[in-house]
Formats: sequence, structure tokens, C-alpha cells
Amino acid sequence: MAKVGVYVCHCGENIAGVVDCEAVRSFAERLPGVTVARSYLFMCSDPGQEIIKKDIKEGLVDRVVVAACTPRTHEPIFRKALEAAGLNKYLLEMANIRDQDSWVHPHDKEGATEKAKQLVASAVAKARLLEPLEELEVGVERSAMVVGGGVAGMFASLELANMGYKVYLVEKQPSIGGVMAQLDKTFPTNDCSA
Amino acid sequence: MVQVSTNPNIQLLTYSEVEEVSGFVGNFQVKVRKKQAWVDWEKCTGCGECTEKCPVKVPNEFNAGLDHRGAVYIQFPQAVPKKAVIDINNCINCAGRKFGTEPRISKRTGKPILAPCERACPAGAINRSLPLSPEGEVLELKVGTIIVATGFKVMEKDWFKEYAPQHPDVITALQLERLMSATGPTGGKILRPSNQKKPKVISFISCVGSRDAKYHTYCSRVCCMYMIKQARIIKEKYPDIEIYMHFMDVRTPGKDYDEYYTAAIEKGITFLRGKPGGIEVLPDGRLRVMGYDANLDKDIEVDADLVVLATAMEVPEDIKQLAQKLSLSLDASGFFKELHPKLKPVETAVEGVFLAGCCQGPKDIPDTVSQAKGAAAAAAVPLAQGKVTIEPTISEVDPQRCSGCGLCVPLCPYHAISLREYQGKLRAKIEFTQCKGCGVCAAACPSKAIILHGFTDEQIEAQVEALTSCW
Repeated sequence: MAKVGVYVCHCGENIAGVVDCEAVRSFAERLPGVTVARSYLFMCSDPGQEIIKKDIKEGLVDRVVVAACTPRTHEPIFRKALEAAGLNKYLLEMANIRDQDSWVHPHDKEGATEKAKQLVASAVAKARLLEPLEELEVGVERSAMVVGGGVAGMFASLELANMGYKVYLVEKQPSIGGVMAQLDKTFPTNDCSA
Repeated sequence: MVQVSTNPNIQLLTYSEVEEVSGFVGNFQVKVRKKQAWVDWEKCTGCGECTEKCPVKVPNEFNAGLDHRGAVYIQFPQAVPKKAVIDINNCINCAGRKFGTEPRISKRTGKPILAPCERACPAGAINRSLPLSPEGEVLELKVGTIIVATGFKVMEKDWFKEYAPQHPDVITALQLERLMSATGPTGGKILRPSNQKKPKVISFISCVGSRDAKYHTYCSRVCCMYMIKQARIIKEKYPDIEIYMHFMDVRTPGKDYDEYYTAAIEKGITFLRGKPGGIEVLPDGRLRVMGYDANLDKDIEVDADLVVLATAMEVPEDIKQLAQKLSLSLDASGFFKELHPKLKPVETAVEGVFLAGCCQGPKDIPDTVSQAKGAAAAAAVPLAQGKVTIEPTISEVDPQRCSGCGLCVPLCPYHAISLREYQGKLRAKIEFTQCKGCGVCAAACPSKAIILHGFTDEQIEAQVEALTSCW
């Protein structure tokens, strides 16, 4: 049987200002499969991650649900925490109770708290069925293409070339230079552009 | 520019366009079309003899339409590479010399009659007898990462009927830039396009097409500063020219920028807050700017000899095609969308494809350089690591369950599925490097033979059930 730990993040006032995090935590505690439910001011902070790691290391938890913000920015952080505690990092599920809840229902605290519970219940239901996954690795062609030969394209090409990589600089006009080549002098130094 | 062309690690592919991109981070396959220049670049020395003999006159894009170029032309004097191209759509095929035809022989001299451009070329780089392909040639590249830096275009003045755009002395700021340049049509002299005389009064109008719900809601971010720059340089060179600058706001939030603005005020340039309502063409051809001074709450009229419109930066029309080829998304203003406005400003939703410069949003040269160097660093990460990890949340076929119906093959938006032989039978196979884990195949499979790892049917059904239960 999976042992699911639920970690409810206040995100300062971002979530806790709308959602009753303690109510969500105690709700989660009673869900099937959940062995531990905790809440903290900032789950993504070092002490927040330590809470999760400690529960994993002590054998209380082998599936993790973080009820917090967006996985787009924060999933990698929590995956690393799982990995550091010796758990496969794909045994994590996030419930986005910030972007999908507290931010969209700031004037309905009760409703937002109920929705947070639903989102957590859903994440727990999935977490119980999660299986460890392994990443795959493939080799890399050590060259780059830069599309556009204006200021941006030229500087990007030079940087990459100076790092030692082969660069293909593709420009649709006959010459590189872009709009910059049309400029006389440029601010704030008033030096010539080419 | 010269640094770029002389760097041994950079291969310049100019007059070329990206045709097709496939693959994934670390292993992109790119088809680049090298357009037909109609001039042999191996032989062309960039001397420009051909450009002087061409009888065709078309508006010169490099000088923002202020003068003309031939059908055969070199983009600008310092072009890199400095090579001529023939703009075949405007070429009139002098002496009946369409490409791929043999020349007529002169009855008088017995020699072939050549077109002026090929006769002029001392290097023999133009040979109209050759049946060159109008399609050019396609090169195939393999690259690990891609940086998109396709830039912007300056909005045309014709949109703004209230500012008399048809009048030759109403010009865009880019046109003024060409008038100020030593390589421009006037050799750097500020002259009114209508009569080639020095203007006594110049008016500048800011936010033309920017911060305007009718055109672009965004601020183009560079206009305030380049207008002040242009005004300062003109005032330094010609202290007797009166300069009036009409701003909605003066926005100079950059390092040393506000000092730059303050110095302009000290030089005697007049700044007025308020956007002019229109321009009236006076009987003597001068231009009456119907302005407003918000500080005095007063209408103000300025009779100017030259009016400069700071038209908006906008995306070029072909950005959509490139976005499609690279599977990139555009934002509400049409620029390429970065993955995250603060934390992933050079990354895109496509791993291994990065953004730099104005194709991501209007910015000035200092910001562009910073972003370009940032994009280069980000694009170098997978190259330096020498390997990329592929997320395991992708689909996999169970060949024992697969019936080989092939339904999934055309459904895959990434062309990752093919039918392969497995134990003597055809079975679907997903190439893991191509799969993005969208789940279309898993949902469609009638035999439930495809599993999307991390999003299995059981997992999703459990989620749905939890969401629809009353707790």
C-alpha cells in the first residue's frame, strides 16, 4: 500500500490569505492512503523541503502530494527534494491550489477552501497509483543554429562560437546587420552602430 | 559584423531561410533554403560595377524608400558578405537575356549581346546563359539547439492618415536615421525630401502606433530615446534648427538615459507633453502640427518644415510561418512567447529553442545584447552537457496488446509512431525521442495497448472520481 504524504503550502499570503490551509490539511489527513499531512508557510523553502525529506527518510511516506503553486516552476524543486531523500522523483503529484484556486477565487474563501480540498483529494487519488519512472538519455549534436543576423543574432552567434561551438547563422537578407545596419549612431553613447 | 564573418566557428548562411525543422533538443534536423542570388557568390567581389549599369529603379529598402536601387544590387556599402544579388521579380531581362537562354549574336560585331549587368561584371559572376533554378538550393543541417533572433520591422507611416503620410516631408524616424547617415541618400545632410533644402523647424511625434488601442497597445520602448538622440545630434550639428518634440510621456528608464534626456533639454530642444491630433499641409508646403501642451493645458500649433513620426516596432508578417515551422507560440501582440516572463525569458515551450532580441518583444540595443548573450548561454547548456535527458512521461506501446490497426500513426502530431515488425506482425512503435507525451495516441487506441507513463487511464480515472465525489 502506498503511503501518501500531503504537504499544504501557505505560499505566504498567496494561498493562506484565501484558503483555510489548516482545514485542508486536516481534511487530507483523513483521506484513504494518506499517512501524514502537514502545512507550512513556504514548502519550497529549505526548511519546507526538509519536512518532506525527513518524512521520506523516516519511512512515513513513499508518495508525495504538494498542494502549492504551479508545477511549471516548482515541480523541479520538489522532484529534487524527493531524489535527495532517496525516493524516485516521479512519485510526486502537485495540486495547484494557488493559480487554480486562491488566485481565481480571492473573494470566496469558503468556496476556495472546498475547491482546495477537491484538488488535494484528486492529487492523492492519483498519487496512490504512481509508479517510479526512469529518465532516458540521448546524445547531442554539438552545434547551434541562429536564425536572424541582427544585433541579437550576431551577439548570440559570437558567444556560442567563442565557447567553441559550430554556429550556423541563417539570415534572409543578402547581408547580416539587420535594422542596426540602417542606424546612424546609437544611444546612449552616440557611437556608430556597425 | 566583421567579427561574425571572420569567426572560424560561424558559418554564415545569408540570403537563406529556414524551411523545415524536425527532431528535438540536442538533435534537430533543419532544412535551410539558400535563395537564388542569380550572381555567382564564389566569383563576386562586391565591386558594385553591375549595380551602376542596371537601368531598373526600385525603392531602396536599405534607405527606407528615400532613394532607388537597381534590380541587381548590393544591400548596403558595408554589407557582410559584400555580394550582389539580382532581385529577379524586378529584373527586366535586358537584351532578352532571361536566365537560361543563349545570347543573340550581333550582326555588326559578330559578338554575343549581353545584358548590361553581365557585361559590367569584371569577375564573370553574372552569366545569364546558365539555367539557374529559381528555387535556389536546400541545405540540411544537424544542430543541438536553435536561437531565434528574427527581430522586428518599423511600422509604415501610411496607416496614420491624420499625419499627412503622403507628404514627402513627413518621414519615419528610420527614414531620418538614413538622412543622418553618411551612407544615406544625402550623405548625412539633413535635407527636406520635397526640395532638398535644410529645414528650419523640425517636429517629432512620439507613440505613433504604440500605446494606441487602434494599433499596438504596447510601448515600443526605444522611440523616446532614439528621438532624443536624433534631436541632440541634429541640434549639435545645426544649432539654428528649432526642434519641437511631442511626447505622450518621456520614458527614459535605463542606465544614463535620464541624464541623456536632461542634457537634451539643456541644449534648447523643446519638449511638449501631449500627442498631436493631426497635421495640416499649408499652401507653401510646410506642415502645421496641431499639438497640445498638457502642462499649460493649451492647444499649440507648430509650423514645421520636416515632421518625424516615431512609428512603432512590430513583428514582420512572416513570423507566423516561422512559428509554425518551430512549433513556437506567439503572444497577444504577435511576438514570440517566452516560457516565463520573469524566470524563463529566453526559453520557449519547445525545449532547445531559445529567443533573443526584438522577436520576443520591443527592446533597445543594450537589452538586446544582454538577452542575446543570455540566450547563447542557455543554448550552450545542452551542448556542454553533451547529452539530454528525456522525461519519462511519454507513451509506450505494449506490442502484445497492439493489434497493428495503425489508427495512432496519423494521429500523432509529432510523427513519432510507425508500424514496425514485431514477432512477424506489424505493431505500432513510438520513437521515444520524438514523443512529447501529449496522450492523443493513448486515448485513441481501441486495444488500450498504449500507456502514457505518469498519466495512465487508472490514474486519471482515480483523479476524476475524486474530483466528482462529495467529501
